[in-house]
Amino acid sequence: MLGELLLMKGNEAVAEAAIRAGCRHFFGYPITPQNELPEYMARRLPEVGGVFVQAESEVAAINMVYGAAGAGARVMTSSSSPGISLKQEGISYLAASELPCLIVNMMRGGPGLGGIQPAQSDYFQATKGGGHGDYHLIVFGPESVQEMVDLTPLAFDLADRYRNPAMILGDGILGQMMEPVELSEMLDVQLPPKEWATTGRSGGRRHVVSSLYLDSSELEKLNKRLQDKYLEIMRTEQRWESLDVEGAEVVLVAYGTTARVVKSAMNLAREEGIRVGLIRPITLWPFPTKAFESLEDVGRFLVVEMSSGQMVEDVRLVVNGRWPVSFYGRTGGVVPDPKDILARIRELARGGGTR
Amino acid sequence: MEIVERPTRRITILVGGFGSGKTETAINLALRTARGGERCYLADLDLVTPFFRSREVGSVLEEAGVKVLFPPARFTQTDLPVLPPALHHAIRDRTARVILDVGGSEVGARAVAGFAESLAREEYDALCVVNPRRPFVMTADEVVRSLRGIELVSRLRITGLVANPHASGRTDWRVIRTGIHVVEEAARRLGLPIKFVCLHFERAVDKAPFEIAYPVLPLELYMRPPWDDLQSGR
Repeated sequence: MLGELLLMKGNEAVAEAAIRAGCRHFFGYPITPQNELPEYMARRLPEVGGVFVQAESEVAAINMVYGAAGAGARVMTSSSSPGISLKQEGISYLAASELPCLIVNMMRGGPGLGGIQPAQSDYFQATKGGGHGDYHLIVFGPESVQEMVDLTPLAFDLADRYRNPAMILGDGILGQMMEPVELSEMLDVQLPPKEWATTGRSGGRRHVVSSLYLDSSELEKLNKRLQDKYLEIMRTEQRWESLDVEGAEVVLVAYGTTARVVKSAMNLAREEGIRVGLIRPITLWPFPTKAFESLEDVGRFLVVEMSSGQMVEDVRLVVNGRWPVSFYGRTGGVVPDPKDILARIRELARGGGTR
Repeated sequence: MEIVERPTRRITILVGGFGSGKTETAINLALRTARGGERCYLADLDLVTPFFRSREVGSVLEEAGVKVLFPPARFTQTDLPVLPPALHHAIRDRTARVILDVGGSEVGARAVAGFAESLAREEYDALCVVNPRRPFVMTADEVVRSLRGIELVSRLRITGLVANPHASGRTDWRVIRTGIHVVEEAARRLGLPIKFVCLHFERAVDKAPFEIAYPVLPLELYMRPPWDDLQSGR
């Protein structure tokens, strides 16, 4: 039905990529600016024998995800910032029960009900747990519609491999903007065997999916197992893009939409003869510490975000005082202008400014 | 090759699927009309898309002399169902042309249904903008289905098609040619004319390796992402 080259909104593209990656179950509740995603699913899933349910609330939707994931289905949900906050209890349960699923957050400005314009102020929530308890999601921060399409099947696969919820952390612009994309053919996806899924015991052992451990030593065992798993993910799943980092006077660090703005600013800076580099995290958790560890000849770092400064904390942790780290952020739905970033780059290249 | 300088009827209503190019078409038509010395209104009736709407380039339009009919400024960045208050007046103002930029697909087209009776008393074209690289309108069958759905909810009689055969930065002559073919086939089945073809390939239009048998509206793009160098230089 669909040709090779399409012009798609990010919201539509994630939905189609998920379907082509074998996702047949979607549960969600509407919120701007991600509504095209459930709209698309509502239209397409019935065509491919899938299930779409618009739940009565975000809380209901995430618990439907829990149920479907527990039964071994490839399942996803999507929302935007306030809706993702509502889902946090369920996400913590998914992480504790080690259930694979995909959660998409097309971030908008907060806190509170905030606005409907793009933001990146849910970075802490996405990468540091978000709900209660010690847990992590595997979090991706794509910068383009094509990259969202490419990361969607990977997110599902890693979720299955590690039995862990995965998240695509986009923003309103990535969801709304249209870019040309190439989609893979519809794959005949064979999901890995899920020995633990509640699909009927058929004479064997009873399968139970639960996050309730009243015995503290049993609960500690679960926590240790989770932490071992997270260490393994941190060792093997870091992804990032590095551009002209060695020898740069200023190394920019940005992800998602902001990385696109930063790349424009870098072109302007190069025209002025300033040596600039970029580290663009693609996985936000695990944070790509390896991108920083072997660096030698760099001047300083400038982190740019659509937040008051969240990812900058992870950069400061890994840089660990070896170089100065500055921050520039816009909030509330305001997207940084390449010229304003250029002004910061100029200042820093001249050796001024420490913030 | 014939270049579109202004709409053929006094009122032009642009409908079509989400992201088919209605807003860019509306802005370009309005600018050409105003620069050609005619009075022209552009009304933003998009109630369903949160960003990338014609209200965002209001100052460019106003400088060119286009009278913009947008929701009141305090609603600019909302997704509330607020229509421009002066729209009824504009529809009846026979001294001016009116271009209506309607929201996408059946859902967005619903907003114009409330004006269907006053529009029926005027001379209008309701044009369905089609970009066959967009999902759900990639074949003539799908275009016909989409157009019928829009007609039903908008209570308008659609009078023609606009071919907008683009794939953003990946547009080439093959994308343009295959796109026009899909729209032609849909137009044939519907018994409707293709009113014009939008082309963002402006400089190279003369070099098309095939004949474009329709008037061409050269597009300048206004809905640009925030990292676009052109925007930052603006």
